[in-house]
Formats: sequence, C-alpha cells, structure tokens
Amino acid sequence: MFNFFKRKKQEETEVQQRTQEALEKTRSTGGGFLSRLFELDDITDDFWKQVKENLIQSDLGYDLTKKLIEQSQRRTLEEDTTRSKEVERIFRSEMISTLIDAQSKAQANVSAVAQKMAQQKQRDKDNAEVERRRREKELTRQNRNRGQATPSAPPVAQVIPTASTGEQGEKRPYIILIVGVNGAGKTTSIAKLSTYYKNGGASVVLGAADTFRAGAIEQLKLWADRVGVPIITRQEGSDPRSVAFDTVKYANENGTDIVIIDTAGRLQNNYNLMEEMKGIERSIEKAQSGAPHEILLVMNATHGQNGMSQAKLFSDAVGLDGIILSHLDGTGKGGIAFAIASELKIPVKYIGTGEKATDFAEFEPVAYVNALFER
Amino acid sequence: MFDSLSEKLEGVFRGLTGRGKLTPADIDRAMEEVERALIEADVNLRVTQEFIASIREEAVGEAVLSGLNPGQQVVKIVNDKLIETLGGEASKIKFAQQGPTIIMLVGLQGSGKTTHVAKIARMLRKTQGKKPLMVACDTQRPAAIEQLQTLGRQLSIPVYSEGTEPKPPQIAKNALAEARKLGNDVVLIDTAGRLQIDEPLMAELEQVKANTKPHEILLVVDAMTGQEAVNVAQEFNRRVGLTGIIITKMDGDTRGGAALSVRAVTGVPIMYMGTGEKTDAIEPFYPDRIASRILGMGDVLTLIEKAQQAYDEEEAKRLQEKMKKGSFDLEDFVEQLRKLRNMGPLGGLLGLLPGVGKQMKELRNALETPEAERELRRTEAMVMSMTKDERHNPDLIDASRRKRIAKGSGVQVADVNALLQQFRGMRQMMKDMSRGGTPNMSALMGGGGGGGVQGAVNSRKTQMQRPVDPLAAFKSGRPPTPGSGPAAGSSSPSRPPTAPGAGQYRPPKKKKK
Repeated sequence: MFNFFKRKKQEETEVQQRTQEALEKTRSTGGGFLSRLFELDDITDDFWKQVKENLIQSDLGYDLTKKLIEQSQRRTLEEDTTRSKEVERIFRSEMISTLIDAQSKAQANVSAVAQKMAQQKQRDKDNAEVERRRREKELTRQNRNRGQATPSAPPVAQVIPTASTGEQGEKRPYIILIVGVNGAGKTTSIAKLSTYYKNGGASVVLGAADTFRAGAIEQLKLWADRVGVPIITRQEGSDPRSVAFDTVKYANENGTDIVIIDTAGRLQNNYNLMEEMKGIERSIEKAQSGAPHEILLVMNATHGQNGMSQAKLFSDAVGLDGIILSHLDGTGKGGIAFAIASELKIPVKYIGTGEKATDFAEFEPVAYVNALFER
Repeated sequence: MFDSLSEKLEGVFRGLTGRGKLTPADIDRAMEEVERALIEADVNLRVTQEFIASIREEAVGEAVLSGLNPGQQVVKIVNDKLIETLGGEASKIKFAQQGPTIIMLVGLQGSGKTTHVAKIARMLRKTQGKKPLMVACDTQRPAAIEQLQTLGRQLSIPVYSEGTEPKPPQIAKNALAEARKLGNDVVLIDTAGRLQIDEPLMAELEQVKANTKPHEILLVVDAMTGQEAVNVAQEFNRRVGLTGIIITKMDGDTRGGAALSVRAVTGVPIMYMGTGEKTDAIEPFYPDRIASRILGMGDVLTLIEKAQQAYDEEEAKRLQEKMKKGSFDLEDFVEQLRKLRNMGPLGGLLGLLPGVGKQMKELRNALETPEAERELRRTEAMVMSMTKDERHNPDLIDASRRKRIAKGSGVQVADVNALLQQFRGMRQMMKDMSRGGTPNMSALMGGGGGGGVQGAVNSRKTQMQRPVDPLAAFKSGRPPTPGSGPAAGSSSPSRPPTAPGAGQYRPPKKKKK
C-alpha cells in the first residue's frame, strides 16, 4: 500500500504537481500548516496538541483527527521513536492510507480502458506534451517573476472511459451525472470536466438539467460556447428529466463519447428534491440502459462537517462514484474529504482550483497530503 | 449522525449525582465534550477555545456543583453563552435619513449573494413598502447578470446592469444616479463572489465601496462553511468593514457553527438567514434557535412555527365541524396528508425535535424510511384516482370501482381495501371522540396525517411499536414532554384489523448498476 513512498521525486506526475500548486495558496496564507510542527527535534505532548489543532482547522473533524493521532501515537510507540522525522513519516502515511483506501476501491471500479483510442491519441499527446513543457517553462519563469503559483498546462484526460457497447456492438456514450448542494460549483465543474475530456480527444455533450435556478441554463450555455461543446437545453422551469433524456438520446444518435448532465443544486435533507434527482437518474437509465455510468458529487472545499451529511445522503439516494472537491483555490482545505474517505469510502476524483475551465486536476492523495505538509 | 451535547454530558456526569461534588477532572471531561460538540458543529477552533475558557469559569462555580443534574446545567450555561455570543436580539437594516439606502452584498463564490439580493429586495418592498433597485455588479461569473435579471422579472423589481464589460465600481456609481432618477429608495448591489485572498478583486470591492458609500455592507455566509468561516469574515471585515451578516442555506441539516464563528470574530450582527431557494425564504436571525441547533438540541421553535403554518386555526375549526358531523371525507384526508408533506420530509421534521436521540430513535428510524414517505404518496395517488363522489362518500366504492382506482394509481386492489378500512376506522373514531365531549382536535388532525404513516409503518414492519403523531403535542400548543415517545399510544387512532395484503413486504427498488 505504501509503494508510493518509493517513488522518486522526478517521477512525480504532473497531477501531483498540480495538486501541490493548488494548495500553494493554502499554505502561503494558512501559515505553514503541519510541516512547521515537525521541525522540532523531539515529539512532546504539546506537539500532538498542535497537530490536533491543525487538523481540526483543516476541517478533518474531531473524531477522525483523534483517530489519526491515536494511530500515529501507537505506531511511534511501537517503533519506539520520538524523532520528529520518523513521526512525520508515520503521520503522513496514516493520512495517505486513509485516502488511498477509498481511492483504490474506486480505481477497481474504473471501467475498461479504451485502448484503441489511446493509441490513436498517443501521437497527438506527444505533440501536446512538447507544447505543455514549453508552456510550463514559460509559466515557471513568469511565476518566478511574480513570486506566486499558477497552474501549469491544462489537465487532459489520459483515458476516455467507455460504456459497454450496445446490443449490436455499437458504441454507447459514457454518461456522467453531476449532483451537489446549492453553490457547490456544479456548473463550473462541468465546464472543467468537459474541457478535460475534450482536450483528451473525446466528443462531449452537456445537458442543462438545472432548470430551476434563474440563469443556470444561461451559465452552462456560455460555458459550452467557451469550451466548444454542444449543449441540450429546454426552457427554464421545464422538467429536468426530459432534458437529461434528450441529452442522452442526442449522444446516442450522434455517437458522442461523453455526456455530462448538470442538475439543480439541492440540499441533501430536502426529500422532494432528492426524489427529483432519483427521477433524473431513472430517466437517464430509460434513455440508455446501464447509465449513468458515473455520478459525481461536487463538494465545496470550504464546507465543514456538513460535507459528511452531503456525501452520505447523496450516496444513499443515487450512489456516488466520487467527489469533485471544488473551491480548493481558497483557503479551505477540504479536510472533510478525509473523513468521507475514511467513513464512507467515497473517493475524491477531481479538484477544482479556480474559475477558469482549466483550473482542474485529477485528485492525487499522496500529493494532497504532501501539499499539506510541504515546507 | 450527531449525538446531542446533552446526551453526551449526561454520560459524563452519570453516576456523579450522588457524589455531590465535581472534581476539576469532571469539568475537564465535560468541557472536552463541549469542545467536541462545537467543533462537530463547525464552530472555529479558536472561537471554540475562547468560548470554553469563558464558560469554564462559570461551570466550576457553585451553580453546577449544587445542581441535581450537572449535565443539564452545563448545557444551560453553554446555551446561554451561545445565545449571548450570537447576539441577543435580531438586528434590522438601518435606512438612510435621506436619499436611497445603499446595501452591498459580498462574499465567497456560491454563498448565495444573487439570490439574497432578490430576497432582501422583495422583503423590503413587502414589509417596508420600499422601491428597490437591484444592481448587477457580478461581471465575473457567466450568466450572473441573467440570473439577477430573471429574478427581477419574476418579482417585477428593476435591475440595473451594463453587461460584463464595464468595471463594477463604475457600474455601481452609474446605478446610484439611475436610482436617484427613478426614485428608488433602496439600492441593492450584487457583487461577484471572491476569495478573501484575491487581491485584485478585494481591491475592486474597496473601489465599489468608495464609489457608492453603502449604508450596509452585508457578508453572505453559507451555513455549511467550515473552519475557514473565520478567516473569510475577518478579511472581508478588514477590507470593507462589514455591518451585518446573512447566513444562508439554513434549511439544510447543517449545525451552522459558522454563524458563531463569524459573529465572534467580526462582532457585527447576524441579520437574516436564508431558509430556501424561493425568493420569500428569508427570516430574521434568532440566536436562541441557532444556539440549540449548534448544540444538537433540536430547533423546537422552528418546528412549532412550521407546524403552525401548515395547520392554521381556521382550518382546524372547519375540520372540527366536519368531524363532528361525521362528514370528514377522503378529500380532507388527503388534504391532511399534503399538509404533512408540505412541512418537509418527515425525518427532517423529527430531526428538529429535542430528545430525538433517545426515546424517539426507533420512531424516527421508522418514519425516515423511504417506505414511509412512499406510502404517503401512494395513499395520495389512490385518493386522487377516485371521483369526487367517491371521495365524499367512500361507501360508494364497490369492487369494480376499487379495481379502477387500483389501476389508476398503480397499486393492488388490496392496497385500496386497506386504505378504505383505515379511513373508516378513523372516521368512526372521530365520531366517537366528538361524542365523547372534549376531543383533542389537534391530536386527531395529526392522526389523520399520521394514519398514512402509521399504515406504512405497521404494514411494513409488523414488529414495530405503534408510533404516534409526533407533532400532536406541538399542534395543540403543549410543550413536548420528553418520554412521550411511542409508548404514549393512547392518542393514536384505533385501527381495524390488518387488511388483506397490508402485511406483504415490498422491498425498496434497488439501484440497477
């Protein structure tokens, strides 16, 4: 499980860098966070108290914080060490394993890799890679000048997920349903996700099934234009189920690879709206059996312990495949994701790190934790 | 998910009552539970620590030591202190002596600024007779202007916008001139969501302020915000000087500790809370309610109000008449069901009750099931599939009508039978009770609604204790008595023997994946 630690620095993926960059702001304003604590030579009780405070202030929650600390304390006793470096290693591994548990479970569920597609794209990708490096260099130089971090090249889907083929072996679109509470950042996350897949070479169509909030359809339309993907809409106030149905139908008729369906924000304790969401899921299933293939909860990283309730109740209603942790460019550290991973085994799949369509990355547990420790 | 603080403290102090004296160690343990409760409610750690330091002094005082139930007393001290910290009285918007009152809303992305601009505009027009103008200064988020315009159209409130090209400080300035020209006496400025660490955007906000000199600068805070609420509030306060706070999304199941955090660090009053997506879902902020919510003690007042809204008095009188005459029909029955549903999901309502933790856990679990909710809907569907005559006079319903109703509502004939039996039993009981002299109207009404639930619970889980209508006490204006859980079955309507088919179990549909 801890093979991750064997990775060499230079082997760290771009994803990891991006996660760290995303958390850069957090550190610069959050005050050094954990790593400063580990600069001590020896570990004292006061040290653990400070660790506890730091974790709580990152929204990990009271219980998980306590659990992490107790486990780490036990291991430091077992390994009979009070040296801060050792303790830091132990502590990191405890945090990472919490996330990895959920992550690996989810990775096992990842649908088949579209190999042919990947080969086709390899050449394009190589070209893109050259371009990316060039831009990255450029950006690094700029950053040095400005003295602050900016995300490097836009993330690109390396693998385009595919749905199982139809009865006659025909290709079927892969349907993603996006859900979340009001103001979580669903619409923006969809813009990012569609950019991510489009840049990865997939054709994408959006479904504007948030027919409730004023301006929501407009907002997604504008994004669709910017990203350059088609969008299926209906009038504001119309039935979101029919929008979802139409979108899936459109994708099936036009051979689209990826369908992303937006939904209205809903609070997880609102029975009627949660039922409505189940209705949307059913209408997608009606339009294409086996769909949706992926249901993602968009969660605001500045949210606290209520995130657990969100994950739990949305998961109870439609079954979640993962979380998009949005607003991670702020100073909120999204620590509730640890608690969710630990308790519900729902992984974070992506992170949103800004307002641009490219401020987006795949979630990397190791990088995330390292970023929290980074000095 | 959360256990209430009172329960926890009961645990801490259990067995100590006889000892007559609390050691400092006991207090420490109690304070640890208080800390835990506050942090689970998303109160900021620093705020929590200061808070605890201040109550510890009171807690080690005589009051607790001489108390019969130290746990309750600690809760009381904590509760009082919370209310005090949250600010005693609800605070209102102060209007300008002359010229338009300028109100600016600021906050992070997704906190609900645009929605609350519309809510406040609507509220001020309705309650104060103001003529508001809404100003679209969010040039960042795609379609934010369209959102405000749509809301303006819905409410017939004018919106001033210049598109996304001009700079917000300029738009705001022009809007003021426009307001003076049009004679608007309130100007509400919607600003883009921004991070408190985003230097250019924060500077821009200062510019908007300088250009418009707002009378009120309100920070919009999502009630679900975690530990960061403190930094957000502090920084916005430092940059633009807040005059008030709006806590949004309070209709969620969040404990709302962020309210305490922002209030504690800024010292400005929390003015309103947003309680829904519709433009009328805004309420004054009541510190006492939030205090008990933070402590997980249930929001009794909100519950009572919700119940009152759904069951107004006239309605109750009308029903009473009907029951006396025995003319309570299926239409009234389904009406009651709808009312019950309007109050929100049953589970959510029960979550507002105090003491749900212990006595009512079983009941709550039974009612929280999707099956219970589904049963309510099925009942409604059956009644809706009847003709008007059938609803008024259920005795008309013969075998072939039953078949038709079952078909129309997608249920089995047995289900229709069960409903009719249940209804007859209830009607009979109503007659009996009204003959009996002093019928408890409210309990009966609850029984009407509860009947559906009860049917659901009993038919699904035959081993369940018979639940009573949890709202009965509230509707009749009596305070809830702890322990009046499932055991107090006397007020629940007597039911006929179980109808055929009512016991068969229908498993909830599983997700196909």
